[in-house]
Amino acid sequence: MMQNQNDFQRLWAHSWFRDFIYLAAVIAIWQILYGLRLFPAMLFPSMWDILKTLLDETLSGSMISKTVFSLKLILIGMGAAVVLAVILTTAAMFSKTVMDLVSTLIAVLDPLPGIAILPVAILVFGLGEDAIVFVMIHSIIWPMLLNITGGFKSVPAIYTDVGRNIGLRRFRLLWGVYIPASVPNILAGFKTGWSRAWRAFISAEMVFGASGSSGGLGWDIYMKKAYLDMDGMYATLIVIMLIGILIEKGVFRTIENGTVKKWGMVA
Amino acid sequence: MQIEHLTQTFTNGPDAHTAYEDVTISLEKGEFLCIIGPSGCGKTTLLRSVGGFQRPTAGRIVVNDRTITEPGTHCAMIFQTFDQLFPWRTVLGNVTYPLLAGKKCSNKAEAEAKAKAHLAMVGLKEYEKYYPYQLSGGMKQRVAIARALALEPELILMDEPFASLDADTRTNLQKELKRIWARSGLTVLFVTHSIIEAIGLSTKLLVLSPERPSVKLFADNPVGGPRDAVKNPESPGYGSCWVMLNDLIRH
Repeated sequence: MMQNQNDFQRLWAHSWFRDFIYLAAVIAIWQILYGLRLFPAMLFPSMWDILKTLLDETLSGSMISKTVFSLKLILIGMGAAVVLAVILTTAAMFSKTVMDLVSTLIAVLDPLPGIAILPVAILVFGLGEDAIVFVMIHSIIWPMLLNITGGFKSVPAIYTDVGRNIGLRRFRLLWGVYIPASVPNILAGFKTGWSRAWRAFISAEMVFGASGSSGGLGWDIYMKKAYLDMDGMYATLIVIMLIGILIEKGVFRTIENGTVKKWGMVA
Repeated sequence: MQIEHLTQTFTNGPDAHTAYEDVTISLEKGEFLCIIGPSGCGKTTLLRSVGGFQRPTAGRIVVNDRTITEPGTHCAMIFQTFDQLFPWRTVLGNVTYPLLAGKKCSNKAEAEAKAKAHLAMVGLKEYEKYYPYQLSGGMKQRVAIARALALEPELILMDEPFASLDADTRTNLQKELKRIWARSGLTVLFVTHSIIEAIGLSTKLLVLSPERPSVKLFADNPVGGPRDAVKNPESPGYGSCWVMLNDLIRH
């Protein structure tokens, strides 16, 4: 008994184990509520049906192809936004005019929801992946620029003094001091950018439908709603949440552990 | 090193003022100059000018026949704040990186060997792989000293590097600094608030004043004693020197 208790405590120390227990609790509560028939089964289907649909759609490949399609577009959007952000922030570091311009653009364009410029994007790029990618880049780049330039501006003078003292100038000062000193802000920018990309993608697909032959997860939710396939709709929501958890815990957490946590740059 | 008719005026903002005016001093290689004076007399500003971090309003600074116009590895600066190490580099990385960035070493192995030797000199051999946040304030200042020494600069500029340390650590670091300085033949400019520190460390004293003339005293440290030791109240002439500096600073 004692041994079991120790084993449990050891497992409990792992965050993935706690997450698993919490998730299991949520599923259990869901199933109890379903069993009590408090809500119409239409709105509140059995968790087993949802998970079964998820398994079926995964095995048939349809969920995988929609997920791959969604991730592909999101990664294109992220990639393009990152390239643009790198170019703009680098230019802003070396020119006060560019910094002013970027600050103004952020102030004006960051509050503008991506979905609001969708009609413009459709008029310019037509119905298709290009319009979605354009909306995503708009959604990602401003918070990213805001974080990165904010990080650069708040680099303590002591670091740049030391950098100049050891002979760093311009690009080498940017690479050797400004960028590493801003890693916490840059990471925050990537996180915000990532979640904004998902929002933009899902809402764009739900507003004007599939942009390619298959469509992604946003279109999938839209269609399943239209066909009243509630099990399937919840299954898609679960997939979106799972991807979110994987990216947060897998990618961002790993990067944080290897950088800001290791360097003691977070409280 | 020569400082010729150096004047620094700040024109920005509401507190436009002249920090110091017409400072002229000349220093031989291997001297240990302590710059002392009341707050606001421009001690740190003078040091930053020598380091090339700011342009003097008038006058010039010449080190080894070269006029200082910008910061560089010829003058290694050690600051008061413990945050002068790069938190994203290990202790070893903090010493190695400037050697490579400043092109003092051509390859990583050479730079690391040199960095390790200097870390051993300040007693931090065991802490190479630590990150700065894992060190105490005194250890961080030791790393900063090792980083500056490894660059083999013509001048080492120290801006109250021990001011935020506790008394014991400060005393130990002062001793080590004197020992290393005596052995290496470095030229040091050391800004301090403390008369005791100034007498204890220096071979030459510079007293700055917010009044005019800015230079109240520029003279050899009259207190005798061995070159590699911190002077203490038992050293001959200590008391009268203390009284003289105290009078100059307080009046």
